[in-house]
Amino acid sequence: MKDNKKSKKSLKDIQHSLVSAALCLLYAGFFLYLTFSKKIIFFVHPDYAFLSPVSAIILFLLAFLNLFQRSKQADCQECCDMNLFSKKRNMFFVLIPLLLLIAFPIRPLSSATAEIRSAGYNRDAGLSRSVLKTGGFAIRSENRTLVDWIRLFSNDPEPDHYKGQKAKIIGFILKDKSLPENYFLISRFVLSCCAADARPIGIPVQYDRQKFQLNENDWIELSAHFESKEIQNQRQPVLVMENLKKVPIPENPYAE
Amino acid sequence: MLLWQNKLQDAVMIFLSIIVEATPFILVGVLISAFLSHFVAKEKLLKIIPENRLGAIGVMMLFGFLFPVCECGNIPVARKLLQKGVKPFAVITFLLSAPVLNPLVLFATWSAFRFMPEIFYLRIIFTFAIALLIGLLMSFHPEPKNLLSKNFVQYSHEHADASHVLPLKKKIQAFFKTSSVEFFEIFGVLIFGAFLASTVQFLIPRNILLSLGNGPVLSVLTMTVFSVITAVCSNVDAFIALSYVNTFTSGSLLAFMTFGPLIDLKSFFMIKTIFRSRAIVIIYSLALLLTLLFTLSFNLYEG
Repeated sequence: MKDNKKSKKSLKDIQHSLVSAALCLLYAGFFLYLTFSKKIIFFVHPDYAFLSPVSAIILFLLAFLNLFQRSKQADCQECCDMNLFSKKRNMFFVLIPLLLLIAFPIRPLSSATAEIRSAGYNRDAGLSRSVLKTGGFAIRSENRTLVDWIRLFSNDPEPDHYKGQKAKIIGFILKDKSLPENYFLISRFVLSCCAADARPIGIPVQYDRQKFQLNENDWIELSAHFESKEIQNQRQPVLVMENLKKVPIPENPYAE
Repeated sequence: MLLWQNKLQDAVMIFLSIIVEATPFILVGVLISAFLSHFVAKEKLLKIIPENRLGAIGVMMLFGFLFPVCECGNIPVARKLLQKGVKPFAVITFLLSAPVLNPLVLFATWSAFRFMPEIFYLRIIFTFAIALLIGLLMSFHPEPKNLLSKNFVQYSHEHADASHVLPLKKKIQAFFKTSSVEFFEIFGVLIFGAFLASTVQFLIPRNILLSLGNGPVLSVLTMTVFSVITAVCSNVDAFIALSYVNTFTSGSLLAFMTFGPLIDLKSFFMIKTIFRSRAIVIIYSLALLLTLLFTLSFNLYEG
């Protein structure tokens, strides 16, 4: 009778080990996939991307040792059987991120997020660590990124100083409701840590509505020059579009 | 694409990004916790912690300083400390100080606020004061066991100290087993918190929240709410605060960096695996009140 009980218990334990190992493997796969597809960059700041393969390694180790242990469980009863997996609800929770990763296409944040987080094109740029980096005027104007430009504006907000300067910028199209109809924002998100704290930045672009058909969220390479214009009673540097080219989503869609 | 599709997609991205960002820290926390569980004997651990209140609080702060994990990683460690018999007030001190008073967070804060050193020093002082005061207060609790959740007490009872019973090989096996079990327990709770955080971010648009106020009082309240909703890791929150330097008062940035690391939508449910709801309300309301007191007086003094 006693033996029977014991074997029942160890059977449960084996099941438990297998479930744990399987979950660890699945999540190790989750992090490996994000790492090798480079999609991790869509979620976290590049500085923290290395944590993803580290997680994968730890999870592989946990999975392996859970499997390995299956035959000699009996000794560690006290540390093993928590009532976790008897709760189906918990099991379901744990699978949600994996299911979402499969069900949804992975793409960078869109205008929907920009809309609810101030675009801030005419106030503080909301740059974070990039403020601390050097650059700006030392870079040729065509080579400056969106962040470089915004950083310059916060150092020197005088729009006339940028008049006539050429710019070539990659970003996505954001139609900001506060802008006149023939304007859009060439925009990117800035991350400090992960997509949860992303803030949009952007520069207003004036364009010819007859000539160009624009779709929000399209990624473009914009060729333009600066002029000083007044929008909402505020003089500011504004890009006047000369040309645009659709481009695929960059490897790092966010500004660092 | 339709707007709601974009919104849903973005909410999923934000949800997953919180998971992706927090998981490594939870894994490290769980490994430390499992190490404590199987390789550090209860008696030795308790010997390090002095009997008197202030001594215990000091040691716990030092302890927090040595673990380079943010609030997510601290929770498994805190659970293990309690199971090892460390008194609840000491563990509360640990939970309140460790997310800020550790080398990684201090380094990040310093690099972000080099040009405003007072922010750096005040962040340390405020966090230190909050952890000290609440830890001290809790040390006078007549029934410290009542602070803990029933499930946790029961779980700890079943999983008493395991450090001495097994030979080394078994210990290593048990170490990994405990790690994976604890990981999935906390992971499940993280998922719930991340879900809530990503939903609330869309229900309460950030531009509306942040437009509420940048006066000396309202800005502090706004940034406190913002810190709870954003649910980011304390390792990087200084950089987020930095981006609001020109639009928000210094006191409100301090509130963001003082209260934010203690609790947010994602960590609330993890903390709930340890403490009773009533205890959480008391501890974190006190922390909130102290944060408001400190940062508002700073704003008044500054302004």
